[in-house]
Amino acid sequence: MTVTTGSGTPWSVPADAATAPLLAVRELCVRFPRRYGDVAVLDRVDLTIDAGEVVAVVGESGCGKSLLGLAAADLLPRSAAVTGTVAFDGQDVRAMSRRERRQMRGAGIGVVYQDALTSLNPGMSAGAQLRQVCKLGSSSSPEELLASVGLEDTERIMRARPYQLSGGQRQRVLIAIALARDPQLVIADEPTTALDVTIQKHVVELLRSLQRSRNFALMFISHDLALVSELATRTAVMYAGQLVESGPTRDILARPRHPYTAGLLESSRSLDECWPTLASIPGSVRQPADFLAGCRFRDRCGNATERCAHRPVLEVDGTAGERYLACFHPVGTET
Amino acid sequence: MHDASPDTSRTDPAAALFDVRNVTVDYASRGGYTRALRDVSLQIRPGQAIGVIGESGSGKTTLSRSMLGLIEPTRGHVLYRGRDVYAMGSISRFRVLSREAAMVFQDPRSSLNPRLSAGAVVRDPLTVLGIGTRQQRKAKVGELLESVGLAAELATRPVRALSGGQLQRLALARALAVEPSIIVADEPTSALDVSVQAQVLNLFQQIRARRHLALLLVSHDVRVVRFLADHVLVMCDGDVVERGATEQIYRDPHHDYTKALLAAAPRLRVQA
Ligand SMILES: Nc1ncnc2c1ncn2[C@@H]1O[C@H](COP(=O)(O)OP(=O)(O)OP(=O)(O)O)[C@@H](O)[C@H]1O
Ligand SMILES: Nc1ncnc2c1ncn2[C@@H]1O[C@H](COP(=O)(O)OP(=O)(O)O)[C@@H](O)[C@H]1O
Ligand code: SF4
Ligand SMILES: [Mg+2]
Ligand SMILES: [Mg+2]
Repeated sequence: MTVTTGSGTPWSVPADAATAPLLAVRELCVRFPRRYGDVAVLDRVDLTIDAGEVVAVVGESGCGKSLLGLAAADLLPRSAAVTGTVAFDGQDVRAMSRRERRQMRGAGIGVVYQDALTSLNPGMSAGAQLRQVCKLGSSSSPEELLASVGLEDTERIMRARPYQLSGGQRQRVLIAIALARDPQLVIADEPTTALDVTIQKHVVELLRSLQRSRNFALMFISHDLALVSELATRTAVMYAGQLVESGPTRDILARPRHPYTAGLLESSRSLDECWPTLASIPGSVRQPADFLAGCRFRDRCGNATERCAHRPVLEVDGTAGERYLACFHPVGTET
Repeated sequence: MHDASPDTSRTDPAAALFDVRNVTVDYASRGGYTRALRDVSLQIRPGQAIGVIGESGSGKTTLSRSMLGLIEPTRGHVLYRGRDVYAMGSISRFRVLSREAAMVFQDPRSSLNPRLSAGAVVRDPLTVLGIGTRQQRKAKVGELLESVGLAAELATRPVRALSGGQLQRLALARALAVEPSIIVADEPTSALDVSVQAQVLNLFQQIRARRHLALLLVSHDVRVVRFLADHVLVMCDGDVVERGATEQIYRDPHHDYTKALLAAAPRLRVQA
């Protein structure tokens, strides 16, 4: 079992699947032609996740985090027009046969959604839902799974309908279901946003300890940098459908390069340290219909120049290893 | 209990905006009852900002709703400027409290009618309470939108076309329309992203200072309470387990429950 952080160049697809990252998203574009015409709501997104690695995807509401998670599990709605590639375990997801795809969705990838109440079947007991998934093949029994997510009172929980469980309990049941088929990759889409801080802390600790003991890769989607800093080895930051910066979490937090990341971090820090006035990024994020050409952050960016009307490409950031950046005038550069 | 608040209203109850006296609230539940508040007392003076923190189910929302005349206590009294809220007739209770105390909720998308225009949302309370002429109301809507940092053009936009941050500004504008003495805000920024949350919290802060507004702020996020509130009540299972000046409780919590709550808040881990 090896845990690798970071990856080589994310662009070359090795023919040998054994050395390929577990998940490789390349030049991924997603459009909803009916609703937004030619605007790419995910715009040339690159992301790799290695086996056993914890990667966070961070950004404001509407920036495309959930779509990226759905794309990784090949669960995008039919109305989406997709270009680029998503490879799981070296295999192009969209070129897979139906059988292969079913196999991947079941045993390869487990998904935990934000809203546990709507993603569980309200008319079915938690136990019945868990049993249904385990029947498809699992190394654990439903009871073992519930115990592993810290639900001690297994008998009662098995019989309970979702509405009879607390928010934290529901989220644990969802995690148990996601883990049932021993996936290699777990996608957790804001799994704690609806919970209060104490339960949030328990769920995050649970995810971390399960990830260590079962060694699955984890894609952790969140808008909260503080939470991300407690969990992820690598972080990717998105803004308005574009991936603007990625690298080791510690590095990014200590030395953000993209002005948006820097703004988010400052905001988060000002709240943590209780500044008299909180730091915020001026203006607000646009809806897809009004996305700017070029860098989509440029109407809110203090560093913007005419050059930013062109689209900056995500490239290796020259000043540091393992970091990628899409910006013409990054923070911390002498001019 | 650790009580550091220098509460002058205790000696002079008429000076308090709200005086909550030994309030207990029981909800009937199958074959018995749930005690959501147990003998809670609290005073809020004009201009004072009080925070209420506690886990889900600890009774925060029940407390704020019982103050607003929406949940009658099983025992105890709620006084507004010295008048017993639940001794008033329901019509005068509505008139007094809806002019004086305005509410902002966690999720504006479900608390504001999505089909109304932004302008109508702000104008509504004025119309219902018969404040001003039609012309005056129209002018006031423009001013209010501007005061929360929304462009006046937004007045004609339907609520469903606004972003989360814009909606919460709108909810604040609506709350300010009746020129209340106090705003009761239940998790007003929990649904917002960090940087949008920062904008909205700054706005609350500015407006509160400018208008000398009192605030009752309910949140499970200690960071938000610390930023906006001078005093804080810590609630656990319907009890107030600790209260005092926010900064003092933040730095030197006495109750184990408060310590656990503070420790649970996610903290930015930055190593230079
Ligand atoms: N209408 C109701 N009927 C029965 N019980 C209720 C009702 N409303 C609340 N309760 C119960 O009263 C207690 C306090 O609830 P309250 O909504 O005040 O908590 P809270 O602190 O606001 O929680 P949260 O952070 O989840 O909003 C809980 O045990 C809750 O289940
Ligand atoms: N099924 C869909 N049809 C049309 N637009 C969609 C659909 N799903 C998401 N979008 C749009 O794509 C953008 C990104 O959405 P999403 O990935 O859900 O954002 P996030 O998870 O970061 O909040 C948003 O502008 C959203 O409105
Ligand atoms: S590319 Fe230009 S506008 Fe975009 S973040 Fe960098 S400096 Fe700002
Ligand atoms: Mg999402
Ligand atoms: Mg509540």
